[in-house]
Parts: sequence; C-alpha cells; structure tokens
Amino acid sequence: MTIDVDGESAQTVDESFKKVCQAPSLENARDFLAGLPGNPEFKVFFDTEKPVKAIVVLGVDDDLLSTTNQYFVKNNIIAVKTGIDLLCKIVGISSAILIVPQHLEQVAKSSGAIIKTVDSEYPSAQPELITRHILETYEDGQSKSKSGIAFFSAEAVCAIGAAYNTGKLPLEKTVTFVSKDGKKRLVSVPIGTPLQDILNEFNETLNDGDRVIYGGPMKGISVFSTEYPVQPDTDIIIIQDKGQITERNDTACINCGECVRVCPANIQINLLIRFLEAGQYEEAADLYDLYSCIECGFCSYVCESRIPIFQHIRLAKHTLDSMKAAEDTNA
Amino acid sequence: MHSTLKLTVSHAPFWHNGSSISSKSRNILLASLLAVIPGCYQYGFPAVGVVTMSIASAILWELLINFISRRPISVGDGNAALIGMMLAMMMPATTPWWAVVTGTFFAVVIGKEIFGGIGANPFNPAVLAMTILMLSWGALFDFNAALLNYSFDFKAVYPLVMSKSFGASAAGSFSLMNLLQGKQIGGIGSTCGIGLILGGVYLMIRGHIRWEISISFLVGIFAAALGFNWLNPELYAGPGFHLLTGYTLIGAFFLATEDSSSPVNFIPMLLYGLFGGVLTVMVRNIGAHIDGVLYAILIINLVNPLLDKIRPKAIGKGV
Repeated sequence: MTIDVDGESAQTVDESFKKVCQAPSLENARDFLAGLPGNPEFKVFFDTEKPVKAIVVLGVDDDLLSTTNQYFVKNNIIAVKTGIDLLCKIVGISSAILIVPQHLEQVAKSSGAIIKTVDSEYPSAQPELITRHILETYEDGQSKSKSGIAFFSAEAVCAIGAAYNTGKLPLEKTVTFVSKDGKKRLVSVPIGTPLQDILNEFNETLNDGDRVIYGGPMKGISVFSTEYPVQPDTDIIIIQDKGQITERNDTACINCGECVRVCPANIQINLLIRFLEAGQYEEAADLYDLYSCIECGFCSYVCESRIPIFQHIRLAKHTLDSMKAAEDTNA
Repeated sequence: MHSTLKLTVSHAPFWHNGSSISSKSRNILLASLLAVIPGCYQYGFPAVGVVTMSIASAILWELLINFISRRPISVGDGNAALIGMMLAMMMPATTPWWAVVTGTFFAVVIGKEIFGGIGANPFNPAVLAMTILMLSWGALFDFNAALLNYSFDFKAVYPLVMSKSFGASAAGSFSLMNLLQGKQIGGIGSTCGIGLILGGVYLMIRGHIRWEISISFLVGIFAAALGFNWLNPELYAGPGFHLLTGYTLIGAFFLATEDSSSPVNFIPMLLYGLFGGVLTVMVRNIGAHIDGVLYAILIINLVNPLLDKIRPKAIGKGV
C-alpha cells in the first residue's frame, strides 16, 4: 500500500544535489544523503583512526516481525545491486558483503556481492553478532575491532542508488505495519508522515492505554502521540492493545538465571542487575561486562521478576557516557 | 489541535514470555502436592494440620516482616507459602504446632527476610530452618519415635537409621519397590518417591527448576553410594537404597534447586549438584548424622557463589 502526499508538487527537486550527482563521492553522499530511507550513515568513512575495511549490507531485519529489508532483497534485488555497485565505487572497495536470511540466499546471489547468511532466529541479525560470527574470517587477518565496518540496510542501499541515478532524493520509506490484531502489512510512506495518516488508512483506532511502537518489539521505542512522524530508520510500527501489555515492576532479582542462559553476549546479568539497581554503574562496567551488551532485549523478555533489565542497562550506559563526555570537556 | 489520547509509554522490549514469580511458586506448589497428598493420606489429619499450619504461619511471618520493615506486601508472589510447604514436607506428621510455627519463623524471618527478602537469601530457607529445628529438638524429629503410635502394613522403621546401625543387610530388608511407592516412614512429603519424581519431572520440563542441578545431584548420590558399596558391600547400602530414602528425592527436586541459593551457569550447576550428592552419601555413611541431605545442601549453598565464578567470557572481553 502506498500513502501519497497531498497536492501536486509531491516532491521538489533539490537543485544543488542534481548538480553533484553526476560525480558521486563520499563527500557529497555525506552532505546530501544522510536522511534517506534506511538512514545511511557516512560518518564512519571519515574516521581516520578506524579505516573502513568492509561494507556490510543488511538484507535482514534486526528486530522481530519486521520484513522491510528482506522485502528489498526479495523484490528488488536489481536496485540493491545498483546501490551496492555505486557504493563500492565511491568508497573504493572491491566488493561488499550482503547479509541475508537463508531462504533468500538464491535470490541474493544475483547481486554480485559476497553473500553471507544468518539464522532467522533473533538476535542473529544484530550488527554486533554479525561482526563477531560472520565476519570472523577476515582476509588480511587484521583484528575486527581495529578496522571499521560500515553497515547499510538494503533499503538505504537502494535509496543511494536511486538518488544518484535519478538526481532526485527518494523520500518513500517502506514500513512494516503491525495492527492490533497482529496483521502485518508493508506500507510505503513519505518520511515525515504522521502516524495518524497511516492509522486512518488502515481504519485502526487507538484507545487510552494502548501502545504504539516505532521499531520492533524487542528494541523499538514507544511514542506518546499519534502525530509522531515516520523517521528515516522506522522499519516497523506496531500497535499494541492495552490488554497485550505486560507490566514491569521493581521486585528484586530472584536469581533464576533465565537471563544468563539466554544472553547472546554471555553476561552475568543476575549479578550485573544488582549493581545497576543500586546505581553503581562504574562497578557494573568494570566487573560485570556492562559494555559487552549488544542490546537485544532478551533478558527483559524472559525475566521472571519482570525487572526492566534492558532499561537499566541503557540507563547505565547513557549515564556513564554523559559522565565521560562531561569529564572530557572539563579536562 | 491537541489530542487527549493517552498512550502507554515504556521501554523496550514490548513483549514478555509471560513468566512470573507467582506462577513459578504456584507450579512448584502444585507439583509438591503429588507427594504431599499421598503423605496426608498415609498419616491422616495430623499431617494435614502440619501442612496447613506451616503454610499459614509462613505467610503470616512474611506479612509481619512486611509491616515491620514497611516494605510492599510480598506474600502475593507465593514464595512464603512455598517455603511453608517445603518445611512441612520434611516434618513428621506428629510435629507439635509450636515447633511448626518456630520452624517457619526460622525459615521466613531468619532464612530469608533478614537477608533482604526473595532472591537475597544465601541458604535455602526451609533447609536452614529444618536443620535448626533438628539440632534444637532432636527428639521431635526422630522419625522412629515420632511415628511410634502409627501402625502400618509395612516396616515402620526409618530406613536410614537401619542402614546406619545395622549395615547393608538391614538396608536390604527394604524392597526398592516399596520405598518408591512411599511405603516407608519419614517426612510428610518426602517419602512418596513416585510423587516426588513425577513432580520433579514436570517442573524440569516446564523449566521451573533447573534439570542440571536435580540430575547431577542424583548422579552424585548414585556414584558415591556405588563407590562405598563397592568398597564394602557388607557395611554400605547400594545406590538404589540411597536414592529412595531420607530426603534424597525432595532434596534433588525441591530443595537444592531453590533459585537464590544455587548457581545459574551450566558447569557450576553440574558441579553443585554432584558435590551435594556425594556429600550426602558421605554424611550418611561415615558422618555422625543419620541423613546428610540437609547438611549437604547447606554446604553447597555456601560454595554456590564460588562455583558460579566458572563462567564463559562475555563477548568482547579478553580473547
């Protein structure tokens, strides 16, 4: 389904981009393409300490329910190929790595990129785990952590290709929309479309206490208003009925160990959470592997005490990061 | 235009697998009934009295502590009831009411609440309380004396006393089938082998207890008993006898698996159970006490934090 912008002048052509698009380069990509659908990130290419050694294109979705990126691999592999070729050319890397789920391996082969498959099981498609498990055999033997890897979503790659080939900046974002009854639909909307327009289109009504999630069920954010716009990286929007919401609480950890056994990063969460609840973030980072967390959300999903562990972890990281930033400016 | 719609806002993840402390307690309580109901049938109303008294007083103690310490009421999670149930399962049916109430005081208040409540107790509260009771009022918990006035259609002697005093030949006079069916004297909920095993298997399949601990505990008992039996078959009873008598089965499925006082990593869980099993048989065979399960569990509770240091490296840490 497509939702169009009202009025005729749906899209004005950016003249200054049109001028530079004949000569694609990293600089003009950074200057013009940052907000494209799929939210391509060009900053990594300008980090002199970590030269980019590989481009990884994610033909998988990093959260459950979402099918946005798989859609591009499945139905528009030619656009993906165009984008990858262009990207390789402007970065100066011979070939990119395309990550796809197993069932799309055959389709993906025609893209000419190096194909790697991941398990369809969450959270295999997290960039951190892909870096760890799939890219282990690295040609020149250089340590992975020392060299940069640029991640792009399949959608972003398509958008980059389209931008340079047409001279117009694409604005259509493909979003997986999951309604209250669990029905999943793909919808193409201009970036910035308020949620209410999508709701109207699908005849979905919201009541007090319902929840709207931008991003997947494990990693997304819940928004407070139906005026909230579709962002360049909004792959999925989920509507949850009030009755489907599990409440969290602040009971203490009972040490059942479910989180420890489910954690893909092998963190001792039963010990970590005790420090996080007490606000001892530095100890948590030094002794209990706070920074090994890849933020998949599994620990909160299985927690028997229903502790918001994931929230504690993000809060701790945020607090430490802002402390560090403050120290750096004062130094 | 300002919308008045109030949406729920919270942090990810937005799904939960539905588990909760109260459903866990409920499931363990239900599983324990498989052993408690045959026990109550065997010992009649005094046993029902002990079980209900124990559960009720455990809940009341927790409620009292909630009020005194001005903390949120926590009896709803069912953990206090569970502790009461575990304690009653280990007691003989003739335990006087004051001993039951004192026992639940030790379990809930000394064993759990003074450490900070659920999840913070270093020892299994019920085991701690039962050990204190047994050391304080030994005569009350001598099963032979306590159950003297009952008449059964099976041998009414506590099997572990027989094997301790008269060696393996005395142990051989109990048929394993009878022991499995609960035709032996002992605690209200700790003699019916079949019920305990079924309950334990249910809990392991549902994931409410960690199978690694239960299985390795039983393996530890089996291996140690086999070793002793091999060294001196006259003196030491075989593994089957040790597996089905005393607190072995309740220990393996209900006591050693208590969340807070047991490890969470795979290898530590195996070591924890194995160590507990071996220790149990050692106390029974060469120690001063009749049953070693309670002491073994207290000691493995003690080494649990140490064992749990054996763990896989977190990703990105060291190579």
